[in-house]
Amino acid sequence: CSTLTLKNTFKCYELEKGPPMDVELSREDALKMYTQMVEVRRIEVVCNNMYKAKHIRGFCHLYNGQEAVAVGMCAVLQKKDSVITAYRAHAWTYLMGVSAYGLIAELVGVKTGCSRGKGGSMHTYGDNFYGGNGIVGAQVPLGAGIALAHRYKGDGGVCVALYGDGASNQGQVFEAYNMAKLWGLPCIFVCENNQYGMGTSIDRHAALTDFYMRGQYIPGLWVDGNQVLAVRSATQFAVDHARNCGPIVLEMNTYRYEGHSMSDPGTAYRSRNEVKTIRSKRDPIESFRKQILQLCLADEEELKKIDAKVRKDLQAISKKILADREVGLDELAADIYSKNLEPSIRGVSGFNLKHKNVADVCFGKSRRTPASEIKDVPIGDAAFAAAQKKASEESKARKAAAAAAKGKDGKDGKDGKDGKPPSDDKGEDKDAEPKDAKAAEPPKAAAPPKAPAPPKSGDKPKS
Amino acid sequence: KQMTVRDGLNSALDDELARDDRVFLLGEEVAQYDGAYKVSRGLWKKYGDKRIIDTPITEMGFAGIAVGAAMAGLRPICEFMTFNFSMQAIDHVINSAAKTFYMSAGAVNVPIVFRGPNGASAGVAAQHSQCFAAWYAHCPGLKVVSPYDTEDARGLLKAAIRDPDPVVVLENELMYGVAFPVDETVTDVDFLVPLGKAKIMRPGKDITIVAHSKAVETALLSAAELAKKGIEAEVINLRSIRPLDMQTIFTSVRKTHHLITVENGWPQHGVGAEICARFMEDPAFFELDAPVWRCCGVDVPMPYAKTLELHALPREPDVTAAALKVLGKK
Repeated sequence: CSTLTLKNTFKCYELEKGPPMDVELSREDALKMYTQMVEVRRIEVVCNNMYKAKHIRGFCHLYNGQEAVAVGMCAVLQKKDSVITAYRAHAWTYLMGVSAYGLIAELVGVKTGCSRGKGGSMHTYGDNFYGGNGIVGAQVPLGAGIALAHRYKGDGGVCVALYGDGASNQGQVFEAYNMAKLWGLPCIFVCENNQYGMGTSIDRHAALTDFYMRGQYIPGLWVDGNQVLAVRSATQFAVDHARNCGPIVLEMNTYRYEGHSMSDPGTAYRSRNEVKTIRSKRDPIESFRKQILQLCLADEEELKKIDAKVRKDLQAISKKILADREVGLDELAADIYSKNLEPSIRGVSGFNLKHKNVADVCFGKSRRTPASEIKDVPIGDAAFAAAQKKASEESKARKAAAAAAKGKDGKDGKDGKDGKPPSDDKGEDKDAEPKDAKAAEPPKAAAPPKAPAPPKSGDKPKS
Repeated sequence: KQMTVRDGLNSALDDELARDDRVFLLGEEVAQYDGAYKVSRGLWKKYGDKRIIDTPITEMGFAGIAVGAAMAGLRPICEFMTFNFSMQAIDHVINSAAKTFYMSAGAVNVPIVFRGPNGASAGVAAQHSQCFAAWYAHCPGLKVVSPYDTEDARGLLKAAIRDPDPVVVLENELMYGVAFPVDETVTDVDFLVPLGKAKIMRPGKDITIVAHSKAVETALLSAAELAKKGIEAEVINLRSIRPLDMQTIFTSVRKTHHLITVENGWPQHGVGAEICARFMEDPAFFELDAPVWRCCGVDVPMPYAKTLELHALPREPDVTAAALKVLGKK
């Protein structure tokens, strides 16, 4: 474990003292955060390429350059905390526990996507992750509402509500500030200031560009959002503040390398030189890499290995996803309501569709695609499908053998069998194959070894 | 026993707040003031600050907060002082509440109730007088109900609060103080009116009159008037605007072969327009002996002056005249 002193990373507003400037960094944390940043960057590179290859459609907002914000914040958040963000949601989705497979598949629009291809780039959800919201600023009062739920339930969680510098001008942001302060909600408002609201620079769209002061009566903290350690330290500070004293506004000063979305080359309103300078001087990954090396927490070789592995894993994932299919047309009219009352859903010409509930588990829990559906990977990767089938058969055989060995008492044996597999699929699948529990979470099963579990913020020990 | 619509709503809120501690009410003046229209009278004293929350006058913000809380597993009842102000928050009703279940492929449901008075009040002019039934019923993902009497108001609100999807409950200010007879089934704590089902208020065999909310009253008055002329009108109270209970209407028209619709909203793309369209697309069309006719609010912003206001909404003589016209009688 090493200690280092942060410099020029915080500015306080209405706060007696800011986060500590001396931060500790363990080798384990360093490698974890480094890996996550590299993964998040790589995911965006893959998305960028897949968009250009026309595998991804519509809107697609990339996070390149802002990685330190999501990674640094998630390093502090616990399982009980929630996050809601805007449409630049890929990194957050991944860090909040959706696998890279589920995320990229969603962008490609196939049924292994985390929203079964029905949400796309801006509408991804996970446990305690409420999206992905395509409406500029709408997620801010929603986030305050989630914070209200935390307080109402008394679960000790905080909600992180993220928005860009552009959204910070939305009226509803100020409405949310007002009520959050009045009611002392455990809400962390985070302005990810990437310098441009679409193509309008902050000094052209905001009368006060000190976004951390815009809560007026809410304390604020300016953070160098390109330094992951500063972000982490600030987040710890903000979480403590939100839990004990109510809302706080963080301004994460950062920069996006790509355009606003894939349809914006990002060159009309800024110079190439500007982007280049930031890349060379303030890149969050490069600077963290240097810090790690300086502190001797890892060597060059090790980090290169991580880079290579991430690159390889994501390449494999993206290749695999292209073999997946979109959901069937029967799901066009699926999950409009969790309790549907419409006798039939109107198609293009007549009431000829039937509503269907694919999501049998809802109520705030995200539904994983059942393993049975993943198995129906149709093309390519026959080996993969076969391996899965084999595993399933093997485990069936094992179960059968176990049941037979257990006893003659048929009924009891059967009950025991049903209850036994300690799978995490929450019994959502009536016909769940009693095969290995791992397969219940498709993206993981489908993904090559990679990170065994998507890094879930909650895995962190208590701060 | 008589009970006002207001008390029907108040007791429904009380029942459901007591039944499920995830249920809470928020809105302008709902707590200390006892509700702008006294619908939440006494609830703050009984349930306290946690369950009955006064908000500032910022619809977009508090509607968003309510939706967020619903996503996170609570069951908010979001009161709009009137539905006219819900336009400030319509993004959260549609984009945040109605669409999330579909967009998330069922990962996040939004069990929320948006409620408040809807439609024309008296003497408040254009910005405070309009019907949102057609607006909200247009959107998949929402359920929309529009109660008429105490039984409707109590049963539909309770059902809406227990429903796992977003429900818009369009009450009517002018009905709040009206008392209706209720029996013990209605006052029972588990009395529910099923969402998506219409109610036949008065059976008849000659013509069907479909209405919702306060227009049901107009329809019933007209039916009484028609009865004097020996015409038996069947009056259907829609109760739910979405889902729209077309089966009940089709069944009625198979008997009466004539149909008019009455609503206080505007005509274009309205509830009546939708019912007409459904007939065009259904074999029930061939049961009609005459074209369907709509009685709607006049296609103007609501005027302030008393006589103009009176004539801006369908009245009993308008409906009666329409019925006679459809029946080919004078």
